Amino acid sequence: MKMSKKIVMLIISLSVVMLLVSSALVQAKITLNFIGMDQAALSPEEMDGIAREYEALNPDVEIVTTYIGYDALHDKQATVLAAKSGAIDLVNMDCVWVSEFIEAGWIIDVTDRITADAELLEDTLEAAWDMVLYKGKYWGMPWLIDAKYFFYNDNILSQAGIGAPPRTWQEFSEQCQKIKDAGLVEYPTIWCWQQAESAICDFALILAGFGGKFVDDDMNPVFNDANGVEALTWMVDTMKKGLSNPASIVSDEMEVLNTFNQGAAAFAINWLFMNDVANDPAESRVAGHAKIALMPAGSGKGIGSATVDGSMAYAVSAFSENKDAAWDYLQYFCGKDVQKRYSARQLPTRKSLLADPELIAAQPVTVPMFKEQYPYVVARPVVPYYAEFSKILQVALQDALTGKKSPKKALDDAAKEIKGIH
Amino acid sequence: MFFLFSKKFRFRELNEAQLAYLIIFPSVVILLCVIFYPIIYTFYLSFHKMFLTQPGEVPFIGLKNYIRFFHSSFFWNALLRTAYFAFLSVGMELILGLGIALLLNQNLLGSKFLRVSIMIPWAIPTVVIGIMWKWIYNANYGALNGLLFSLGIIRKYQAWLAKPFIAMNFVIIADVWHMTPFVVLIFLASLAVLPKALYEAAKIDGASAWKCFKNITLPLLTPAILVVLVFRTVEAFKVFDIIYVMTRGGPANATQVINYYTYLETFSYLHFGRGSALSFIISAIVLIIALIYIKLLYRKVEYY
Repeated sequence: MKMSKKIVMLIISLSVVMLLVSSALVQAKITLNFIGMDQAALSPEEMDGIAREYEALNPDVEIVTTYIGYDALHDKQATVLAAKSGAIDLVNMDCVWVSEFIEAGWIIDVTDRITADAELLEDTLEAAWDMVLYKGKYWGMPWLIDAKYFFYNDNILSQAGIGAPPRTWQEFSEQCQKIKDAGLVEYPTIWCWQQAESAICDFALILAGFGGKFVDDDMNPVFNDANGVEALTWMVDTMKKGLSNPASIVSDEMEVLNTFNQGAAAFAINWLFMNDVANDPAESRVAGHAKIALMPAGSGKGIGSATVDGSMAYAVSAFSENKDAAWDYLQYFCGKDVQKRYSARQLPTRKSLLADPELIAAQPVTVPMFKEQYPYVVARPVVPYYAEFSKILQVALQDALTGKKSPKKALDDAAKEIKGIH
Repeated sequence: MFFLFSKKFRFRELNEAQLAYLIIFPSVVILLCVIFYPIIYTFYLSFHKMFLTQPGEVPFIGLKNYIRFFHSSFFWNALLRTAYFAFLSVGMELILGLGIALLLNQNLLGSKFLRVSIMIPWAIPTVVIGIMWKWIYNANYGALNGLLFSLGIIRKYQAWLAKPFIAMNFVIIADVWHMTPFVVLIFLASLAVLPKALYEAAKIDGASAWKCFKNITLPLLTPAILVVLVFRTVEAFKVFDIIYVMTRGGPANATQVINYYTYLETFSYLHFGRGSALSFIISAIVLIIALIYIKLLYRKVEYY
């Protein structure tokens, strides 16, 4: 080879070697891979802010954040964890997946770490611990305690001459009819009854309001009893009478939020974060008019209210290479300081914070509402095959709502199919 | 391969064939690992019961996974929906693609610009197309609703994707919009090499445009049609991403195609054994369809 070519080759190989060496040196930093939910609760911007704060306090840690919508959260994490890959250090779990992830061996037991911290144990809400407790051991840090709340637009209600929001679902139908007849809104309410988990959340609170249950103590499906059929029939009726937006069948929580923010719905049921967004003048046309009331229930059942639990927790992956660093970040992310400062879209899980006058002053609407509504929370069924259970029921709800099957037949068929799992 | 160790193994003494084998040997190894090993492992898994929520228990159960699907009405319904999707979307793409290709082949004014711009839908990622069409079909502020409403065709905004039958057909429309440029491309390439002498001879004999098309163009395009049919049907049978983005299998399972069902079984329910069996069933079906096409359409048409 000519001399110049040899020199060029030498330079190229030297630079490649240097590149490899330098990248190896840079690896000295600990990288934590964090999965966040891009939907309710903290927004991605807020979670990024918390990550940057932590990095500033711990310069040798780098946090790589990934945000996924709720519907993809389970499958994406399942794919990575099933491959036993260390690509995720901090695993985001909805309360319904906790037992599944534990049984599959994807997250680590953190009982020792939690019981060592007496203050943490004592201060966190019992409901939060129930989420991560399984067979007597703790498996993660509770992150979010959330429930669905009943939002209404007080402007539209007063224009229709309605004094107070409804206390029962029957009263709700009447008020919707009144608003529709007054020509104020075409479809007074919108739900998130798409063929996904959000439909089960909505159905859970309506079912509980009518006195129904998903499963009995032996995990047999009982949602097709008289109360369940009554609940689903009521849902189908609101669609038929044009009280519920027909787009409910394909809507998720963001669609519900957007429709309400446009003033195209008088009532909406959504997670707590909607209170912040719906009253934000930059995001909503109805800012200042979005109010929360206690969730209605079926009339004549003796049930005051019922709502569904949407809590989530974070765990450390069993295949993570930096388990201690991951746990340390979790302590910060779910810690008192962060929870107090970022309380607009989700409330703290600590008793001391919920009683803190500064927090109450910062969130004058949501803190008292949480205390009033949360005692009525019901959980979705804790069965080991929850994903399949949920999917079968989702299809049944859709069959009834599109008119393909009668509510009774849809629920009966679903119960039969669920009994046939395994 | 023992020649590798023989005395002849010096580069100067290898003949061309041996050199060729040596060069492709690393690639073959990589292909074996990345493509063939997963296929064989999936085939192996399809005969076992593997629930990821019960790790460590992977018993051999023979053909139970396959038999379970043949008895399941959900499986057959999904297959029927997939067949409907494939048939309709490939049919529309074929007819539209052929028409557009014939038009572009005339080299009218603006053909060159159109040839480039018509490729744009094909170049956009499927996920983006799914989201785009989902917004067009949106029930509250979609462009389709706006257009039809302002033209007076509908009196109220419709929730298109909430009606089971309409949802399936509208997803097909989105897919046709996405993949027609591919069909146009293949037909344009074939049309460009058709011998002009045949058309001139036909014109002299007084043949009309339709007769030219029916007796010259169509038979000579048969190889291209075969290519399009095989490619597109196989792809349409495997459709997943556009369904996932637009409807997630809803409403009421109206767009639940067989590949989406495989995804559900494997990644949502974590039943890897069943998912593997399903993927092999799909592969077998697709293979049979391709073989049928080839048997029916593969004949050389020679006019000279």
